[in-house]
Amino acid sequence: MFSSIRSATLLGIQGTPISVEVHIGSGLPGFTVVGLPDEACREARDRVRAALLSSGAEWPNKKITVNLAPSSQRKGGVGLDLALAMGILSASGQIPSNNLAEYSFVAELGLDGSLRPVPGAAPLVAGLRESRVVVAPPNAREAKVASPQSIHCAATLRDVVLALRGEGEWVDTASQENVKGGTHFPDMSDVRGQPTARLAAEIAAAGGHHILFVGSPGAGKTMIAERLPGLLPPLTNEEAVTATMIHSAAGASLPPGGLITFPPFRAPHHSASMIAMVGGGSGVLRPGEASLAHGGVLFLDEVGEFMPSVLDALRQPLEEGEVRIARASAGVTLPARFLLVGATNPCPCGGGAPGACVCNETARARYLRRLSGPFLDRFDLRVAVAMTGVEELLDVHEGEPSAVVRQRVARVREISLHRSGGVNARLSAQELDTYAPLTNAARDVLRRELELGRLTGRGYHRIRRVARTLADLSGNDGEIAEETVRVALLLRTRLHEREVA
Amino acid sequence: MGQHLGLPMWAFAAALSQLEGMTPKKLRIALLHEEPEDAWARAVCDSTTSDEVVARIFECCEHENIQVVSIADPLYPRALRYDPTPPAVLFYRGSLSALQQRRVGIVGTRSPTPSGVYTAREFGEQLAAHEIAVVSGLARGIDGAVHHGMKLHYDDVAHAGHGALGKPIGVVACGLDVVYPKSNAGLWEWVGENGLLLSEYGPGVQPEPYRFPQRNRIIAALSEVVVVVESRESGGSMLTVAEAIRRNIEVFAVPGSPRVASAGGTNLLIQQGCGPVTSVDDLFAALALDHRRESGSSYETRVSPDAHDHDVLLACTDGAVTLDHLVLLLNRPLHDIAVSLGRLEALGWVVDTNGWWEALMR
Repeated sequence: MFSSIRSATLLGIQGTPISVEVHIGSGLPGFTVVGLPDEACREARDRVRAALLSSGAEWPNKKITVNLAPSSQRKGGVGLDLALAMGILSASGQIPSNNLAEYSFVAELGLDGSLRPVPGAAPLVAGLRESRVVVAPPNAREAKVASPQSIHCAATLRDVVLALRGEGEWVDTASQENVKGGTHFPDMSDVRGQPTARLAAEIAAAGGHHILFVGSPGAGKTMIAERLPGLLPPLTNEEAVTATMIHSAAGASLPPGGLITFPPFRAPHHSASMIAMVGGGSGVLRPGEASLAHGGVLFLDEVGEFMPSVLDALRQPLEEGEVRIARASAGVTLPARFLLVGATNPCPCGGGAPGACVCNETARARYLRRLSGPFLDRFDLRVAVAMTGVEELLDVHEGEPSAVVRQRVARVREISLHRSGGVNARLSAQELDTYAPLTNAARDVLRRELELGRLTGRGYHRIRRVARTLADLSGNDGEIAEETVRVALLLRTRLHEREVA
Repeated sequence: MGQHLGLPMWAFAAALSQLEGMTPKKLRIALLHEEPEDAWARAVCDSTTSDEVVARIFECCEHENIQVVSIADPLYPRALRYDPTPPAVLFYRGSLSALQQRRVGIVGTRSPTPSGVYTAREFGEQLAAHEIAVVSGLARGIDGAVHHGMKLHYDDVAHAGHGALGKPIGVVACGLDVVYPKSNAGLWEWVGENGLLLSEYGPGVQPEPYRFPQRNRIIAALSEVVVVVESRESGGSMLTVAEAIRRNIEVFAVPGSPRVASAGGTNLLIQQGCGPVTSVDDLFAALALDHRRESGSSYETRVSPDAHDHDVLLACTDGAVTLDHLVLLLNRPLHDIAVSLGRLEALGWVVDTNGWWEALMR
């Protein structure tokens, strides 16, 4: 009257194996779930009972005790439903238990006995790698990313039972496999004029430099930012699997093929909470926008409108490429290496040319203060975007298409990977001395900026990194020339007006 | 009543000015007709206000190094005495003798263009050098810039032990112990030490918005001519202009590009008949100091840019432009323009504000 069924729960993007132990004994009829289940888990008993009855199985009128082992760890979510049902069927002798040990079950049950998908199927399956996993059909694609060989699908609880008895077939999922996901990023050729912002976007993509667009409403900040992921090369296999795991764990939509092969683009609204941005929440510690953008672009439109604490929380992922979330009950590390793209108006009214701003002093000061300090310093590129002229806007000639730019970006990424093992934005100060030496003229330019107090020590290194990428783009492998440093300086606009007196 | 306090007369005048329900007009009449002490006694005889208020304000002024002069006082500035709406009590730091110099009022917008700031600063420097006092409001933008320019000149000649210099006169719209705006705190102090810092309001009075137009009338009244460096079509500077016109004080304006919003007011003034000012020489003429208006600057201290850079400079002369504009206008590669801009900036020909480039011609 006892059975033990394998399933898994999710913490961050890690699936943890769980044993669902079911004991059916004599006593007053009842159903208890122990082992630190959360509310969704505890409600499973009502769903399971209804599903069993709808599927024509029998509900044992005895004392049913379910333990979720290991018992000291909190379990959340609805993915344990199917395992629970299988445990009861097995413990009550309604299905043979001889081959059950080979299987794991990850699905939610409907009251009619149908199998429903659960968020995080990919990492859950990854945590159950050595067994055959039964999932709901909509979860098949992402589950196969984690473990292509051992996925079984069935539409209903009844089908699962029949298949296990050898009386039915699993749903054929092979047909879904060869769907290729395409990219649907808008193309750079739509952008008219804007040579500076174009160049900056190309540099950002090639060197992994975080970029901030500053300009009036309608100048084209968002337009260029949306086209930036289209300039990045496709993800490597490893990156693709990680990105898919993160998206699956967060319950975000996946491309038709299941595997995310193109750099993700995330553009959270500025009302985003800290948890939504970096991840967390009770129980499962869901990945946030920073992790969902892993390997791709995190675009913060109206970056000044975000809560300052949310922006500051991004500093750790910006430095380290991961978010470490610690809670009283558990802690997880989520990958979060993204290209940060910000867009902001220079002031609440939108500004424009000097003297055009009509904001009052306090409003403008407050607006800029939100962006000030260490966060602003994380942007290697700060580009002023001005309204395109009428001539350029009406011009029928298309700009350079993304595909052409992407080739140059890919070449520079290859060079830098070969040279220093990463993108240029992550060159350390020592590496800069080795890989990005300055000509005397270039050094003089930077010395003057430092002496005038317009460049901080950190800014000095950032300029050199950008200059390295610029030189790589123009095919120059040696010393950084004066003109390259000049351009890098121009692409790092000072945002705060120096107060008069 | 009160004699036993042994406090100076000015303390009573100061206390009167801060009395609740005391309008400027009542105050003026009271102080013109009676000794401040008697006026105080009359004013508080049927209220619960105690004489301690006088002692408190006395201590406060002593502590904050604020001096007080009332309209009945012989020291009271002549320029204000015959004003239609004179402030009855003035609080000041520094010396009233600054008002004995020739005086130019220079005002303007709080959000100027870089070229406006440079113009104001240059005026300040040159007027200081020519022993002409500058009256302004110590606000952000043009007001601060003009006094900042004077300070630059003072610093320049500090070691040379130069003789007489034009004095800064700052008229503010709050108590002298309430520094506003905070960003001008250093300048505020400097004006108090080297010239005259003036307010109609006693210690602790906050800079409420309605006080600024009141303050502007004093700026106008203290100036022999008023110059607006940059202003929008409506704004505090235009109120100062209205006050000046009411007092038959001549108003001048610095012309600006019609494309620049913050020059809209100054251009409008010129259209309405105000004299245009393009250099301090125009101001000397206005003050009847020098009739020989030198045409432009006879020498240029900056190193001339080479022909290559000159094209870029020319492209920046017609209002502020961005890098994009320059690339499209000149049809040159971005890095080429970057180098030119860098050189021009180092030589002082162009300035950059948030990515907008503007030429600084003479």
